[in-house]
Amino acid sequence: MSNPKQPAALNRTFHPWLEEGAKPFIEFRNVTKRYGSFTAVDDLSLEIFEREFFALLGPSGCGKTTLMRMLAGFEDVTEGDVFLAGENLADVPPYRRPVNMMFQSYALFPHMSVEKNIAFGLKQDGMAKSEINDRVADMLVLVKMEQFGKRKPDQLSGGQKQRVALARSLAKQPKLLLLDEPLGALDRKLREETQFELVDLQEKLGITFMIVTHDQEEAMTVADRIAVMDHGRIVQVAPPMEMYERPNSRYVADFLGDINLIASKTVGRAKGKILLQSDSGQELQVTTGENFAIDRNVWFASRPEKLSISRKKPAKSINSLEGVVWDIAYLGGVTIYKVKLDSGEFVKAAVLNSSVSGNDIITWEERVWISCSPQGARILTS
Amino acid sequence: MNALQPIVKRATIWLPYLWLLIFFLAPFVMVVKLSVSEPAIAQPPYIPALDWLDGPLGWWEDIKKFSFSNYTFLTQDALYWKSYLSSVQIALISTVLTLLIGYPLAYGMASAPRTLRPLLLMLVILPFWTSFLIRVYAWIGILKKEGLLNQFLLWLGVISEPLTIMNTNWAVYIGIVYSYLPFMVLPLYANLEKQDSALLEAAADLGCSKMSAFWQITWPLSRPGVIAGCMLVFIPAVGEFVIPSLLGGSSTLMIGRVLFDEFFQNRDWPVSSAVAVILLLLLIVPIMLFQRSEVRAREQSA
Repeated sequence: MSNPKQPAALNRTFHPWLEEGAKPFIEFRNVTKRYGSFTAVDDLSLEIFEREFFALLGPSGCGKTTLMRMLAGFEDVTEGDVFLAGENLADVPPYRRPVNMMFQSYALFPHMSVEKNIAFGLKQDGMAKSEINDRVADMLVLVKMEQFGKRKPDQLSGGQKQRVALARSLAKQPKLLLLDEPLGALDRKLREETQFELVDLQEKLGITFMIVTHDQEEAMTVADRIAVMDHGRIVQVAPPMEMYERPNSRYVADFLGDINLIASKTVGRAKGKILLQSDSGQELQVTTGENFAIDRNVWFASRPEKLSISRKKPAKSINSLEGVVWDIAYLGGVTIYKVKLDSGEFVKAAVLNSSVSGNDIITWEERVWISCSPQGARILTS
Repeated sequence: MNALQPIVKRATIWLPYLWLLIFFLAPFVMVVKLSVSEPAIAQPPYIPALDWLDGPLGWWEDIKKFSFSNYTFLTQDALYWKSYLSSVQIALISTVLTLLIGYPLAYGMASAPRTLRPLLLMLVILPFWTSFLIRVYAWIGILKKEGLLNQFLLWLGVISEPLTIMNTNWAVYIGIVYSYLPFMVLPLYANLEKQDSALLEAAADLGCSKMSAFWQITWPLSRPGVIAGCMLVFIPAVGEFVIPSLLGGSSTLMIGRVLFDEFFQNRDWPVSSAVAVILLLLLIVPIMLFQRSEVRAREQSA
């Protein structure tokens, strides 16, 4: 389980969404989009702030692309309103919006050179020729494509095309840049590098970025805040760390990383903890500030890296469950143990391989104890 | 099997060449040979310029006796160059008209709902199910003085006197445009249909209105389709015989008719062959020049 975090986000005190009375830059107000009987976006409201790097995350068909295309002006809104910098976008055609989009397929004009592609938007605005040339040169430097200005798109590699598409969408200095799965066509290494470059670029230019992706790592790497979507609705909006550590539902917990869920019932409270009893009769504890009604059906939820695995019963026997090692996945940095508990449930525990190969490692079919501190778990109600 | 494979591979490459050799080059050589022969009152009506039975040495003697009088004859009578010029002119005007009608048609088809497209495509091909000759004949019934078109226009009150369309160049334009429209629409449709709609969205996103996006994106990208369609209309239209002879008047000069008259009325096979050879050169040379410039343009951009 890698959990990449953008280092800048940790020490940056940028969270306008927490500020009282902060004016949103983009506002979706009760927006619904229907295609015939299919509802792509369902009564959705969302506020995004200036200079934010915002990610829409969700499986295909969850409505995230539709939401983005509404901002670009390619989809009209069935019900509700979309505002950009206080202006209702309803009657503004795509070519009049101060918004530019980087397309998933890049959509570079194949009959134009790289330079002409980048200059296209500037030419439409009737900018002076010398000014266009300067801006195009700046853009080429920005995306490190100075040597490729004269090439045609089909003479470029995937990564180069991606850079040109980015330069083209930034050339008009939009107030908002939309990125539709911008790195989907790149291979893994290049994608990771480009993610960090995107973050740097966004900070340098100070433009609001909105990215659509189905890749949770990508969203966590680049975004200030993430919105997880499902069936046209937003399930949770939060900064990456908060979303990972405090998901509001099983759906979010499962979409962002891996989660172990044990169906339980609340049975009591003690010193900032909630006492649970799992459906198979195990006693469990979770440290939480929240309050829960007693005798409610909930889930005990814990991330694999927060579980520890041992042969002997731990001294502190809170949240300790016995089982058999069912499967092992060695991933290099971590090893994932899939353990079948005596109650019949499966849990995954991630163990950091911090020392070079011990001889005495836990292996298949061994009896083990899985334990989790009360601070390492959460209670999910939906 | 393995030993055969290279042979099979080579054969598949040579097959099209073989085809061209048998069905294009061989007849063409025969026509060229005919064009340098002397006409005669005989069966067939010429003295062969080259007798295959003469043997290699004899062939050389034959070649030295080749007569180019048929070609010089074409330059002496104004009828011929006027016919060539008029053919090219009629074909050119018809091609432009076909493009003007065919492009919006193909564009409409390509932007129609996906489920509707096969039906529209079939409707374009549908006229081929009736004989070409019958369809051209049908136009006589429409275009003549007391024909359907004039009756309709008189009934509408648009005109008070019937129009004279039949037996004019206008009738020929109408006939050619009608007959060759599918040849324009099909390559254009194939091109427009596979154009990426995201390109137009990108253009709109960058501040380009719909009309402007058409001229900056769709039109330049459809150039190969436009060229293919224009070639498919222009080339057969230059040599068209049936349409001008059925719909055209006595003043409609087209080289196809001249060729036909030379062959069947005058029974002058050598001269009609010379007419055909010149026509071919007239068409092939510009096409080759055009293709060379295309290749060069492509190399320059590479």
